[in-house]
Amino acid sequence: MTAAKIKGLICRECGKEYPPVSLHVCEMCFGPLEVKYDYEAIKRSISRKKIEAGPKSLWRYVDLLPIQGEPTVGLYAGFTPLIHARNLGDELGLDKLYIKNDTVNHPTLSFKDRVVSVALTRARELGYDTVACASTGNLANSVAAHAAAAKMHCYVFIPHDLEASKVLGNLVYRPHVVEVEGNYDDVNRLCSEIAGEHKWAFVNVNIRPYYAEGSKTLAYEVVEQLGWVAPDQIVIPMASGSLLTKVWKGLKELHNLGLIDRLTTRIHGAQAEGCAPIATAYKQGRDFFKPVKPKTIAKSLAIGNPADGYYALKAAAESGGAMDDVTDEEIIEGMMLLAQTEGIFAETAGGVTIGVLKKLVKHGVLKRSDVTVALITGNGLKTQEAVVNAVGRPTRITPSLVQFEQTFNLGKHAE
Amino acid sequence: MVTVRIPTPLRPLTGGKGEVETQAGDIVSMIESLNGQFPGLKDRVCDEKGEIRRFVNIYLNEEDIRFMKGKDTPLKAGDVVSIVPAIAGGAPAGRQLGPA
Repeated sequence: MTAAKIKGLICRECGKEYPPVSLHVCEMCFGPLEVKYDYEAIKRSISRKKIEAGPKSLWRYVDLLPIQGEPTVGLYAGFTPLIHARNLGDELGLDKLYIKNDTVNHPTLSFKDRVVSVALTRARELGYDTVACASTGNLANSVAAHAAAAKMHCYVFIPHDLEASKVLGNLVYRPHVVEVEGNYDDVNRLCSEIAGEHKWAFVNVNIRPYYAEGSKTLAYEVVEQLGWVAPDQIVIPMASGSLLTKVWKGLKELHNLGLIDRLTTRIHGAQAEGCAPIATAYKQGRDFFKPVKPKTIAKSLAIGNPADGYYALKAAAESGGAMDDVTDEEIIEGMMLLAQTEGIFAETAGGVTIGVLKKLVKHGVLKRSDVTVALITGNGLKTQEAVVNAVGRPTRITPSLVQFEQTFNLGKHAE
Repeated sequence: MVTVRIPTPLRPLTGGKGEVETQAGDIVSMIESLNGQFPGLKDRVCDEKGEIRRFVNIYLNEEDIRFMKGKDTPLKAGDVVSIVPAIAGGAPAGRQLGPA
């Protein structure tokens, strides 16, 4: 693949074109910018065989990622397991349920390692030495870790009330961690202003057109891992709505490039009831949403004014998918169910996905024989506060065989 | 009179003014009237069909007009209308940054 695969940036609304620089908003109509690829050139270069021979990371799909040279940051991110979840499937009435397990993404245990690998590689190409982000936690962790490894200066901006592990998971890499008194939407707004003043690569502000493309790799991997077949159904958690939008885009690209024969996948979006602007718009049949003030334990999804909400609604509609939301109790139940059936400890967003998956089965949207994939995007060890009161306590004993057997009613000392 | 708040990216059209006043009975006529005073403003706020652009939010007294009557939302004397591009939380941006 030559460097020419990126043609530039293009406004998703009015089509105005720009050179491939660090710019994310159309000067004319304020629409978001997106990378414009030379798909003809990509088509000539890409094949299933070439991808399969590539590295065991998201960089096996480099032909479809917006960097011009070789990857330099996050070389081991992605290519996480796709697990046939037979136990959870039995529980829910799905024969072909798969979990895409990004709780074990490298190095910071969330899908954000994908987008950050792409964003930081691109930021370096554009000549930046300082990276930054507005984050609900996982993104900050990933930016901080990758910046440390890439020897880049780093500022991460987070709301003041994040889970302890997500805060510590920034500090350990020694970036500047800025805790903003406000919610994510306040943090994001502040970062837009800072990005106007300082020449930094804000991965999800001025680098967003490149950064967001990293999410497509979840779609590519699911398809390759299913044997180059697109699933019938995908359930995706939504914060800004970018992940869902990009998964749909990734599937369409594979189809248009002839890497899959057919595309009938339905894309479903999952939110927490306490922050469900996109799911609410879906239920009301609107293509616009009302921003909300988030109030949910699913802090990684707590974006009240979702930047890609409109496009997420459009992707769900185009694919024939649905959207729904779940309560905090249902989120905890979903986390526990996934852990206890499949041995996967997901963060609260995973509980949202499993909760909505359950609802979609109940409402008859997902059929038993459908190949269904749930995207589990973050690790439960980072959101321990959410389940600490639901998991019970260990059984404490003295180091005595007798006491052990009596306590558990086993062996000679069973009653 | 209706007061209209102008976002930074549109201020080059209003001679730098962040707040302007106009006489209009609804949002559509407000945009027309502003365009008379500040030529070119309508093209930035509306698409070629005259619909308000998707990433331009208009608030009447802090409420999004999409949840009222859209561009037909009526205005009365003393109302405050804000035009806010929906870019990453609403702050002004849209210029090229960085070394590249």
